[in-house]
Amino acid sequence: MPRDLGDVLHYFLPEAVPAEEEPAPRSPARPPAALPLLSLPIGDRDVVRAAFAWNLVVEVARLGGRAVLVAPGDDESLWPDGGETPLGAEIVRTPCGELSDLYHAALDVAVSRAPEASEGGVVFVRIPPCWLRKAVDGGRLLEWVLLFSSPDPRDLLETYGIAKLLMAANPSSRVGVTIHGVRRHGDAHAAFARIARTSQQFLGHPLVSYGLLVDDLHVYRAIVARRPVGLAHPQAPAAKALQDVARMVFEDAQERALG
Amino acid sequence: MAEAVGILMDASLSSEALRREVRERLPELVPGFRVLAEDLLGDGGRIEWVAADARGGVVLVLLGDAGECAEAMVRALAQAAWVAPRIQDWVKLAPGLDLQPDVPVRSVVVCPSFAALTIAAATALGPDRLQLIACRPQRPAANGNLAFEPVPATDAARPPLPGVGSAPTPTPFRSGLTEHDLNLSREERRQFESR
Repeated sequence: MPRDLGDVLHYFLPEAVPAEEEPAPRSPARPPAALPLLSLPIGDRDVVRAAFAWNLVVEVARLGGRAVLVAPGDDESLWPDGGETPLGAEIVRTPCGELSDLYHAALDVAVSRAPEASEGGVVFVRIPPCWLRKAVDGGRLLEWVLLFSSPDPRDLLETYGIAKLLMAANPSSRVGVTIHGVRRHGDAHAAFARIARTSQQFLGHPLVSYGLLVDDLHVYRAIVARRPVGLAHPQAPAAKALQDVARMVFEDAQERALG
Repeated sequence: MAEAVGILMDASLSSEALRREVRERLPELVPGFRVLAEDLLGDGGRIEWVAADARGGVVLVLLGDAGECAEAMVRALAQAAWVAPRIQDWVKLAPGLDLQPDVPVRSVVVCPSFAALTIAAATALGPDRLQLIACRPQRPAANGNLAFEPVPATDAARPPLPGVGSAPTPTPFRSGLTEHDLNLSREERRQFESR
């Protein structure tokens, strides 16, 4: 069911709508058999989206989840150095050249890290978008996907087009969209509504809103410093927005965990 | 201007002369370029020039030393984020500036050269937000001491969305995919043709 952007409205209107105390994420009674996989199509040189993805990994770890980023081995410039990083978030690079290999590598990580995930967790998988052109052999990796888009019409067009590729490869794909680069809640709402309406009209498939990310100077400083925004500037609007999006992802992940 | 020192290998060109020449040549590269302020104190540092372009959008110009292109890019983006929420106030204080607050702030970074990663980041952001200009000495000096070259030269302007009946543009998106890869119909593209 499409999520309401009102979930993060409190961030923009703290006086009008006081932030409600968020219920603690459901703690599973036992670790899952495998952590859920969340795929993120990110271009080879898209350092901005890569930064958003990495920051979400760190924020899920901050929430107590086991958070791992799995990426093909030829994209070192997009991420901090591999291994354990802040708050136990992890980057795993795996040499593979196609979607099915990446799926198996990600599944291995999802199974191997699950025993450590008493509070649940997520395995984020960076997918080179060009691999989606022949995605029939990796549809299982596309069960749950998150796309980042700015309100720019060309970005929205691209995001819609990628959603179309995803749904062609996997008709049951749950495709989420996070709008970034906005300063007003209304801009994010309008951008998501535009792409969701087009998806429903032409693809007969709903999109899920995963909130918005604020575009402020701390994001860019954090990108160059290779430090997560939430650690470098925890009180910044960008950090709070990341935390909200991470919470949505983490809560959905707990419902999708296997076993 | 401390930040401008060292930008040129040619020691005969003083930093003041450098700034003067850059300022004179910028209108060639930014249509409708008109300077509003110099050395504006922004967020934690100075903005060399605050200007407006032909659309009434605010353009920030920052200089960077050799080897500091990434830092200059970050400063430019950070300053743009600092400026953006203030434009409405500037319009109230000085309506004669003829600024359009709805036009996104654009940053222009001028450096002797740019690293591949910096160029990749700028490409990902798009020329509507960040423009890189390489500035090198000309030997012998012709039409001034400096040669300016937009980086990348083929990315001077983001191609517009295709209109009805036109062929899809081959220019890739940030993901690296093209409209051909996405197999979008004319009707689908039309849904995103304007803000």
